[in-house]
Amino acid sequence: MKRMLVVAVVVICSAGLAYAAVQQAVSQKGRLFSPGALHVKAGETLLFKNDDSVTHHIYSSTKGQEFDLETTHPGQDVKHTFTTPGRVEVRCGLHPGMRLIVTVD
Amino acid sequence: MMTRTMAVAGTFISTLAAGLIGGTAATAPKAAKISKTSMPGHRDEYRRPASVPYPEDNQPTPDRERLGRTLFFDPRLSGSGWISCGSCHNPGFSWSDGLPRAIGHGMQTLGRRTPTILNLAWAPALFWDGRAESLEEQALGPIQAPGEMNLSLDAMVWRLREIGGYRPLFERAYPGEPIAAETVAKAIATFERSVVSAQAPFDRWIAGDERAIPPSARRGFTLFNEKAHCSVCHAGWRFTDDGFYDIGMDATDIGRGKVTPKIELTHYAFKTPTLRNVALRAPYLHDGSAANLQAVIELYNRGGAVHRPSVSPEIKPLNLTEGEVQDLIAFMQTLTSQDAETRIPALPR
Repeated sequence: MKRMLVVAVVVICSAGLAYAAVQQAVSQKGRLFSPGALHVKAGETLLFKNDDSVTHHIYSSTKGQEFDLETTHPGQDVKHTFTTPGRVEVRCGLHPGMRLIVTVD
Repeated sequence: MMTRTMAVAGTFISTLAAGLIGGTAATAPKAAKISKTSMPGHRDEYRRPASVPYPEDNQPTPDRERLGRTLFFDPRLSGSGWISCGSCHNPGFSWSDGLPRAIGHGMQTLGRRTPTILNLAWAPALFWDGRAESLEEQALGPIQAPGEMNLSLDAMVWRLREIGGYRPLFERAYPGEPIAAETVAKAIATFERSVVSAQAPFDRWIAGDERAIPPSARRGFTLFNEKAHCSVCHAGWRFTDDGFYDIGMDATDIGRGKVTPKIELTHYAFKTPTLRNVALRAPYLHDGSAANLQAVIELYNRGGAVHRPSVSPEIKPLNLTEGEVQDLIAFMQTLTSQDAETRIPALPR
């Protein structure tokens, strides 16, 4: 019983550590960002995955939070680090209906 | 603030629009006949929506739709007093003008073909280059453009205020709001959102009526979704993902590239048009250079006419046979609906 308890505690702690190391990810699929909105901490890096069947190009023209990431073909990933607190509207240069609101805390 | 009358009227308009979209109860097939196994692949992606979307701050009422329709067909919204929105967006030509490129103020030929206004309630961006993000924003563009309707917004407002017959129309549509560019734009946008293509033979086929479209069109639909790759961009019930793509045309207009110059894939790229009622809107492409659907398909079949870094990765030679090209055309013809005729109102004096 005590051994089981120790194993359980180790498993839970490992899971906790693993959770802390997981990067937040946004999926592009069906010409939509999933999720459509999320919070990140200043300095956090977001992973953008192209899970779609078409090429996407992520950018933001939000004042003071502009960025332009390289074009990603289906299956490719790209990252961006959000450093400035505020609300950022992330878009796709090719698909005007794609909108992602990132709130940087 | 929504009065009870407005709420009822809003429901009326939504129901009317839903009837347009969903068809009548009398023609809907029995649900029992439609099973997943009887539906060939892809059909689920093409179901029509249940209602027309309207923004929170511009909900529809019959008075708003009427005011918008009146303004849409009023040529006094142009410097010459001769060009209305409806001059180029002519309901008789599926809301385009049948010309390769639009003609504007002083009979000048402009750079791009007049797009249709069908089904724009769902469009996230307007104009060939998507530079307007709402119908309200778009409506004021051509009015002011010197090459198009050539009338400043101040002059437009002054004219409208001088026409006594407009006062009650604006007051009923937007009570308490002035006759101003903003109310003009909101009214025109409300009218435009009601312009929805009706049920076509294709929709009846999607709903389960196996005899609604001929065998060549059914083959064309499969090609559209598979070998010909059309559905990659001409996606969903509107047959557009509103995406910007360079399809490799031999032309000099950089399209969306003017709006997002840093994004190379948007150079020479234009917004994917809807294919609803496309058979009614020759000629085709942003400059009207394709006389018919065959010419458009041939451009795609070749993998585009030019190679440059901005050409979409979706563009490649298709190796379609002549028979397959004809099947695709037969399919696109099933997207033609018998839309209700538009009532053009007596213009106020």
